[in-house]
Amino acid sequence: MNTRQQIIANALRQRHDEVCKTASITALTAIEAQQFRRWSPPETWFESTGDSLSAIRALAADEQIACTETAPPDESSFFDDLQASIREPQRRFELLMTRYLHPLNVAASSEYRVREHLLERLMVADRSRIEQHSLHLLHAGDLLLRLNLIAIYASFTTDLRYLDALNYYYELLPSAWSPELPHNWLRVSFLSFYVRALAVHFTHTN
Amino acid sequence: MRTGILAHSFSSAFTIYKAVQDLPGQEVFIILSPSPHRSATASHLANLARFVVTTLKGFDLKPLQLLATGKLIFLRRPLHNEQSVDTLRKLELDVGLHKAGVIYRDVTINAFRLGILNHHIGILPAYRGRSVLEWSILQGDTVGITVFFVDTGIDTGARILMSEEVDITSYTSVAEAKEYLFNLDRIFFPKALALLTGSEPSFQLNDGTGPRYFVMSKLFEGVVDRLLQAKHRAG
Repeated sequence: MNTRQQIIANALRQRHDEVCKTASITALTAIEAQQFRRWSPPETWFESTGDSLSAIRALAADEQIACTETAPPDESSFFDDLQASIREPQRRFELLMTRYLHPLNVAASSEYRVREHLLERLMVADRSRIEQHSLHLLHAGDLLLRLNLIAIYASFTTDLRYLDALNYYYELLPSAWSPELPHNWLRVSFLSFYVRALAVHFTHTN
Repeated sequence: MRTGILAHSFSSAFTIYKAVQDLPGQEVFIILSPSPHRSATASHLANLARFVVTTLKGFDLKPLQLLATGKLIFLRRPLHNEQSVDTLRKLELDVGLHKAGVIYRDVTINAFRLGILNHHIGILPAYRGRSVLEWSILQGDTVGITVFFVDTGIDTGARILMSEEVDITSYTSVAEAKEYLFNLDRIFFPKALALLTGSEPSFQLNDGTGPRYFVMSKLFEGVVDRLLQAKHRAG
């Protein structure tokens, strides 16, 4: 390992330990496990019978989700709908939930444009609104669902932009923030996926 | 060649003006548009103050000459506004030099015969967007400057006029290195204008395939500072 890789790995390990401590306060025990169940990205698409939010919760708790491989759904209309929903967070939330019944599908090769779009919205428009105005202006469920999807993908890619979006939001979101919504545990699952992504990256760097 | 420096601040535009004014065949204008973060009146008052300070501090009559010869232009509205574009068209400018904090629209870009040049502190097409200096260092890639003609996208303009590696090993923090690279515009803009006034300039293609980078987290900024320090120590 060269000096650059060593410096990056050390920083990621330090952040990993810090997030584990933060996350243990929120009492999700699986988050502290050093050995996560290994995820495999879909060859094409995972078909799942459950709903997206339950699947995210299961993945965050390091449980397995029953599924089979199938063909990816039509992308063109979904992507257009997603782009058209940038000012309708509830609609976007529903679109993403419907699309990613199995959340690991966000890592499918067919989802490249979607991932880039989600990353860009998080790091430009949403970041700017939070920094210049208030976190409370955003639809917490929509924001957290997108962060969860990006966090899931961050474990599959060596593209550090995705991991850094998680770093950025970990630093940006107030630690005491507890969104009032039916799925406020999405904040905990985000931390769980973040810890996993950090572990994957510093292990990979090693 | 008629060149227009597009800026919000007189001081930053005047720095570029001083670097390019004496190039052969150049007629240079400074075009100040209101900052998007201030009202037009507040922007112009701030610029008038800068104008006076620059003139008095440097015992420099050049700002007054610019004003007297109609080469210092204060736009009342943003650069894409019809009135502003009309003013730009009437100036019959060949090229614009970007010093304003905006993404240009086609109507503004098209007001210049050749387009608007941007001094970008990263190597294109690989490094588009924000914090590209930091990302280049983090990923162990070449640090440098690209001068290219902008389009309406984020660093996606297809015509790259020049691209050069820059040595930053004497700097131990991102802030210092960044300031150094930004200030190189007074070196790179004259070089770029010289290329444009020469015989048939050639362009490299920016195919826009490089990923778009975003503002960096504090965690990775710290990593980049440490990487710079390690490089500095290694000489």
